[in-house]
Amino acid sequence: MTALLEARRLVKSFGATPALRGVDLTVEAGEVVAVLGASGSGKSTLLHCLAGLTRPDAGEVHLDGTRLDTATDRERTRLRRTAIGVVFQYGQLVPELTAQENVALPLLLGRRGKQEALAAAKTWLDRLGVGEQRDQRPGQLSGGQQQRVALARALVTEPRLVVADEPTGALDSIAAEQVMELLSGVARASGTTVVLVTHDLRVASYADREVVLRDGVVSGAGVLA
Amino acid sequence: MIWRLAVGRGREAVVRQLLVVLGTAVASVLLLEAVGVLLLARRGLYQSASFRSFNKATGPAGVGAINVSYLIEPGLRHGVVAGFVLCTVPLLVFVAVASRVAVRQRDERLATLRLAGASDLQVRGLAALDTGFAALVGTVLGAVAFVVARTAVVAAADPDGQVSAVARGTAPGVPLGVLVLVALVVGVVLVAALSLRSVVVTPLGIVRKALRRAPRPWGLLLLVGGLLGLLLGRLAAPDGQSSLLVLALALAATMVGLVTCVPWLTYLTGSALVRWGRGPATLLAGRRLQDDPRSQARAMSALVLVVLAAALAVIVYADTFAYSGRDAADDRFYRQGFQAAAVGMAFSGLVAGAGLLLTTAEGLVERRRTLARLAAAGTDPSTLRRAVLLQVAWPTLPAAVLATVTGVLVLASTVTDASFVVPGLLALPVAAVAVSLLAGAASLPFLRRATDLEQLRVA
Repeated sequence: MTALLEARRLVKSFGATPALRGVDLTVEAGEVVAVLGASGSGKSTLLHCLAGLTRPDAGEVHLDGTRLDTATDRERTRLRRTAIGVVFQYGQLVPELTAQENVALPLLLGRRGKQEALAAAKTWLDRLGVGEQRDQRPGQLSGGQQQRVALARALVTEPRLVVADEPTGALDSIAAEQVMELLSGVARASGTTVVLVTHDLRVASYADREVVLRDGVVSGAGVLA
Repeated sequence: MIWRLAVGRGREAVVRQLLVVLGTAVASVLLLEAVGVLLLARRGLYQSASFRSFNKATGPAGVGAINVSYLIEPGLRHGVVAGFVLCTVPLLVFVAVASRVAVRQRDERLATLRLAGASDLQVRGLAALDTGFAALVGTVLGAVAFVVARTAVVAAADPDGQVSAVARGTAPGVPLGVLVLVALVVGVVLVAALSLRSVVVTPLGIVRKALRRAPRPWGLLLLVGGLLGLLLGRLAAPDGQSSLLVLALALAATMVGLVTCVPWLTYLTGSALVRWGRGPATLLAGRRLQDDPRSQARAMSALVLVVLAAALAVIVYADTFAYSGRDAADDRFYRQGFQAAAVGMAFSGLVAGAGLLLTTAEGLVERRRTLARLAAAGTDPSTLRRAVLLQVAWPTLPAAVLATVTGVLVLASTVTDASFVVPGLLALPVAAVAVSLLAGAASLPFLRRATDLEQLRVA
């Protein structure tokens, strides 16, 4: 396997509060990695650095040969649109758009034709089991359905990397299991690399490997059975 | 403690209060002036010698910017009153918009009160207190400014006593002044309460009633009814002496009809963007307009009325100067009048633009979580900027065109000089769109802040 994502000695502080204090992490292509840690351990900050959402104060982030930490805003935006899918806990869908339009949005941003983008969105919604709800707005969907739509939106551009920040944090246990089964299943079937942040061990159990953060440093790592 | 619960703390709450105070203060001055001018006829003061000496042909340029002759002739006097009232309308819209700035935090605070056992009526009372207090302070400040300015004018060097006579003649008096100010405060509180209709504060948080049903074109019926009323009013009195009341009612129906058409037009504009637009910016803007056409329309309503007033002014201006046999003094007199009207409309346009800016900025602040996540998912800032500008400017165009056409229909029979009227009227929708674009552009710093990825942790 080859490393798709590599972080070296990442340091990040918010004012006087250190969030990351020299984190090293390597993720192989096609791997599903869970970053575990308590609140305030720095796991979301690490994820934001890995996705090019935040620049680290020091250290390097490499994605498939491209250095993210020194890339321009425009380049990082382009990468997030084409090579990185992002899933948050909630609030990422545009409330005024239908589920299908939400999923088609990244393709429209990439200048794909409207009909083509909507057709691709429908395919992904069907694949994730929410095709019937494609004309509904996010407010009309359950939390689990919303996260499936968010997953479809993250996957519709067929990115090399998907980063997910507490993707099941707002869901009940059954919906959380369904979302994780879909995410890990699609990722493994398509060879997509996934880095997800969670504090839930059951969610982490869907990953190939876990990395534990504590006070801004990696305090443990292991391969999950 | 009640005060802290109602208003809260923080910069946004202070800004909301200051904007409501400012809007009601200026509105108070304008309304007091309007009432004062209306009282002139009743008092008969304009017939006094000192008043009469301000003859339009021989008198000085005016008291400050106001030529007294405009107050002496009944038709012109009513025009002055209408001007003051028309300038007040955008201010009231501005106050309504300002009273909703950053109210999400307030509504959430009220929700915690509901959880602690407060009734729906109690929390609505607290919300009214928030706006009502600011409106009260604003009207008091406005009244003080009005009285101080009047006193200064009366005390100024005035050898003939003419200026003092005008100032005294147009003073509304304490009881009536207080009545006007109380009505203004009550009106502002009512408008704020009406804007809360779609928000239900429950113990478990804020529920926004989904007004998903598309607006209907009922306003069009009122608009057509008003225009027919104006036509019938003129036909019924071919000598031109139509009942002022009938014409005023018909004109009011026309204006209300025009404003109530705007949500429907905004919705149609959104649908057109979604259907025929290409790219994500048109989709985002179009869906936003379809989803909440009423908020956008509310903010645009002042601008639409300013366009209507400007269309009427353009036609009247052309009609006035179509006569060639007027002397220089008359010409100067009328030009001054139109200059004053132009200043009033520019002021109103500015206030309407400020209202649009507030609405747009507030929408961006309220949706910052979604916007931040869109940016995180790789949405170009330029796409979001285009979406904001489209959302603000695009619905303005049909609304301004309708307002201009309405103006033409109101005064259709008086159009005499098409060579001046047509370019003047064509310029109005363009100017309205320009004001909208400026308001949208001025709100972009809020978008930049909302999509700052470093803020993603708190969004």
